[in-house]
Amino acid sequence: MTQVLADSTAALTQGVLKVMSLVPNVKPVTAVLLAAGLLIASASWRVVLAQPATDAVKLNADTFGPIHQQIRPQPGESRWMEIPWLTDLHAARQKAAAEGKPLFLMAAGKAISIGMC
Amino acid sequence: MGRAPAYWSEENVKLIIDNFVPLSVHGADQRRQDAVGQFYRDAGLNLDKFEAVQCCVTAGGKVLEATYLGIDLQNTLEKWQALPESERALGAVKIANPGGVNIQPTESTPPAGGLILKVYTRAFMRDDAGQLCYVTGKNLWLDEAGNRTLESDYHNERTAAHQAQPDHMWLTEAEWKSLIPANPRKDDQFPMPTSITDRILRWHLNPLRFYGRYGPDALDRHTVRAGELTLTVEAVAPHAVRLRLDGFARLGQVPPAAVVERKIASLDQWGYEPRVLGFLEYEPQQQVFIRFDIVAMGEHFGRLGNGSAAPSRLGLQPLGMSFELVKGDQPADRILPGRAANAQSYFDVSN
Repeated sequence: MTQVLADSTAALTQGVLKVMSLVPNVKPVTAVLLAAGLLIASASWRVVLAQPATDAVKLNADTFGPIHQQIRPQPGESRWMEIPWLTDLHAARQKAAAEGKPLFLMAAGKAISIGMC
Repeated sequence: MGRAPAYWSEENVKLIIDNFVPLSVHGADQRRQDAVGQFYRDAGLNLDKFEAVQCCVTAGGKVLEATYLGIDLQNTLEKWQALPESERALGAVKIANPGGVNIQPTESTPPAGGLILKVYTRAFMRDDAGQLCYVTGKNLWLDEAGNRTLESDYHNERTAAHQAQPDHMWLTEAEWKSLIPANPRKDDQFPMPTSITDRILRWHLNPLRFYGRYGPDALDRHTVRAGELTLTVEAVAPHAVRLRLDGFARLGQVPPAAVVERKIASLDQWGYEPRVLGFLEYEPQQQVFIRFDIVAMGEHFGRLGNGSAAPSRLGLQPLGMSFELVKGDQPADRILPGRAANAQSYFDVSN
């Protein structure tokens, strides 16, 4: 934070000097306000564009394995994935008839029910 | 009911595995003009009328139970036991070959000689120490200020936004072969082929596809602000060529200041900026990939999904995707990626 403030102060000083050199008749107070405005605008722009989306969560060779594992389903989390689903009606009916079991059928309106929900 | 953990208890899953033949289908099968659609219509089912529906049906087509809520399995098994032997005994029902099935296997199954990658997507939060932690209902906001969360919403039981979401990526034989340099040397670098890069960036890293409400499978090209994927040869040995995949994507909008400052959960804009890292291993003698692990991880803002019911998280939060090889010997691993109507429409995205 100290470094950020020091950088900002330096930038503001430089901004005042630039504004005064570009606009010779401007009063120092006005120059300070103009430079501060430029600095704020510049800082806002940097805040948005400099968001290093990838730096917030360090992804490298060391963290790769743990992160890969954390993304995957955890034990007991999505037990419906543990079921050996069939996806072919005819094969399922044949199996049900052969094993003397009913079908447990799950459908989604606009997708196969075990894919993306 | 869908994927609410409350229904998918250890007990219920065991009951299903032990006593039923589990079948997962597309609701649109109801409208198929062939033996498959006819079976559902004859049974009096309405698979396409609900977001998710469960049914218990005999092999012969008698419906024991059908509900968009969770089926009472014990009760349904009692109904099954009450059926006459002619409808439930081993081998009592003969299933004739279906005539006139419309969909040819090549239209909905992975390409011959191709690769199947299992993909999972998961939304994370950061704990106070900045470490990844899993999302709970209270992190999933239904308004910008968090006055309504999924923890308190009655739809909570129907959401899966706190679970890893499954999907698949397919590569044709020609595509995966194009990843192997003819004479690989350590530190060689080359860009991922354009069509594969395009499909990864626009389809597989598309955060609108996940967590329901039917977002588009592929982003428009203009939605990809930037992105690239590069392969580097890390090691060459007689039994393995190891490649590293590096890249990034900048998708959707630049985050607004209120999101960056963690003042709101964005509901009307979205953006995702993942870094991509992967480790691929090719076995030259067998001519097969034996490892194809990829992670995409980065900041996301906006709804987890593409509809007005999809929740959002405060500020910028991590969204991760993992990719890994699967053999494809399980039916569940061979379903079409995303909501593609057929294999052609999936591969056409990158053409």
